[in-house]
Amino acid sequence: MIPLQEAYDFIATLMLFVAIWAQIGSYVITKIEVIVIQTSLLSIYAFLSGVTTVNYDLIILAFLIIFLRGILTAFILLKKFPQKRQLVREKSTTVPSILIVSIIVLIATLIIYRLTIFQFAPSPITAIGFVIAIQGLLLIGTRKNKVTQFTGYIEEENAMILLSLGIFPLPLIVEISVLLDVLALVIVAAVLLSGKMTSEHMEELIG
Amino acid sequence: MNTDLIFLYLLLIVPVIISFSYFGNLSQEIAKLGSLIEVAISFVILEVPMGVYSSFNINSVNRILIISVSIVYAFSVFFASTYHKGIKEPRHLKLHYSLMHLFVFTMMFTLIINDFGLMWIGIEATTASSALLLIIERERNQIEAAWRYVLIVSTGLTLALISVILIYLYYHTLNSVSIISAGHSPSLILTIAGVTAMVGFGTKIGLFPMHSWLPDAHGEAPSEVSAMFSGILLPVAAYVLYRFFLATFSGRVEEIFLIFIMATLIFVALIMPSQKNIKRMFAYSTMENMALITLGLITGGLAFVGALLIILTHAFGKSAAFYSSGNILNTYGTKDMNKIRGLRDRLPSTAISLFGSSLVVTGAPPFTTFVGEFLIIYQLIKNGNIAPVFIIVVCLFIISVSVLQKVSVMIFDGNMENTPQLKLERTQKYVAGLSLIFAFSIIFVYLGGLL
Repeated sequence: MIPLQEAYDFIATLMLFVAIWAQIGSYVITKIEVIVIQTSLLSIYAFLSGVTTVNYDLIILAFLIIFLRGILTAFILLKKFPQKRQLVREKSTTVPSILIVSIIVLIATLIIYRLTIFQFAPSPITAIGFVIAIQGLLLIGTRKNKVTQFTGYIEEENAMILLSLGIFPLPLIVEISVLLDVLALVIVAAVLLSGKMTSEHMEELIG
Repeated sequence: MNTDLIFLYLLLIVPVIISFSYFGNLSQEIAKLGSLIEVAISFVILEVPMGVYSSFNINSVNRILIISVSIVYAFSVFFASTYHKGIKEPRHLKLHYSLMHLFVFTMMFTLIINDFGLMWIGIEATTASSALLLIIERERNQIEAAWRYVLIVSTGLTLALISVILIYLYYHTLNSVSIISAGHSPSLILTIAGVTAMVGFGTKIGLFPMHSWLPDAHGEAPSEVSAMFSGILLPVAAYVLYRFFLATFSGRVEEIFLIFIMATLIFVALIMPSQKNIKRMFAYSTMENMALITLGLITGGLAFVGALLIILTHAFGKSAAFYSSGNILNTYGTKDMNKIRGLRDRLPSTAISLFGSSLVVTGAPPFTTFVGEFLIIYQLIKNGNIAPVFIIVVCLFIISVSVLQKVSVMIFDGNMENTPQLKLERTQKYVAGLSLIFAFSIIFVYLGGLL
């Protein structure tokens, strides 16, 4: 039988790989898949954690995450795209160089984590949460496509929940998660869907 | 339940109840009445003794912010009633009002709640409730500005969550009053918590270099929303950062805060002279005011009093500046300062409110902002921080001269004596004027011992 801690570590590592996958792909559909897969993994983590510690908050959290973030957000995003959505890709992207930067950032983040927070939270789960958060930031900062930037935001959300679960379940974790999801839905439903898919340089917004 | 607690609940419940006016036909009237009730409640709360009430907390900073939030909210509701007359779809206006009420609820909640986790939730909720306020007219620029606002701010705030997690890891509680009153010895974990709070909440406050959403959102939002963002939302975020600062305080954290504050002032001083858009100019001025407020709060002593004076004066002064900018946009149809001339002859009342508010927000003597700045500088000198004082004085001088020069050109340049005056709704004139009078009167309120 697989020890529980190893199962947690395995799920968190998978989440990290998905974060790296988000950096590589230039097709927009990949980004939506990243949202669904990473969120599902987090949901499984929260569910397992909830069942084994008999913490009902975490079980509720698992269902909320999969429903709001995994299904509803992805469903609304998919509606934005035409029939042949598999062919939609970011207009200009420097994916190979971003991948190298991403790996360098990953190593640097782990070193920083080891030197600072590790002494208070010596857990690989929190380290992975920290790394995914920085990868999410990188995704937002280096891309212009709004769906990709939004994926970065969701990655950050997932990372924060993982970080908090890794240390110990933070009080208000369900409320925090729901609020982050509501904000994500506001971003998607009201702002992202009513504008262009690429962040624009506008004369009025310069200076 | 004691009476004080009832008033605190009322402060939160009133805006929530009136937000349901979306489903009726009297949303404008209900909004006006509701906002006035909120002002009345906030004045009652001024009499509530400082302390902890169930999950809430009243202290010397948040009681002042509650007053400024409620009054600017009322001003904005009245201003919006005529400012958005051009909107053809009444449903959008009703939604706009309802979101304004919810926005105020989230700010009040953030101010009075006595829990760092819930405080974070409150600040994040202000983003969710205010994002849609930017896009009432559904223009391309507004949507892009709203996108940048929600993405940058929520990303920053997600980082601030690390601070909440670390504070819980250290103290095993999130009760802000217990944590702050218990005191602590400096530790690396709290330093990291302080820095992540600074980066996270600093994004919302508009500290350099996380400020990039601020000029876009303030520049493109409807004027009453810009007034609420600048006058009350950012000070609320500064208050939250201040509470986190108290929980994580150490010499190292204070130094890091000081570096970011100085960087913000230098950045604004460098960019201000090249501004062409009137609302963006005032947005950058807000960055300067926020940097000073944060500096005053963390320095303590007389600087703390200075920060409180700036919070109040800035709330009304900057609101008056944005209302005046809205009046100009309504009549001239542009935000480009190069195309705005002869305000003295064409919009005399707005010329007065714009000039007066510019004097207030730039800290010209003898207005209260000047007194606040003076107290902050005095305390810094007393603490032996001479280098920051030098940077502050130089930056404030450049910023003030830039703003006043641009405003003076718009008001006094161009001979328009024979040109007819432009028509403007009376409510908009009165709101801008009244807001300015409030900004002027703060010093008398302070000297009269009412604060």
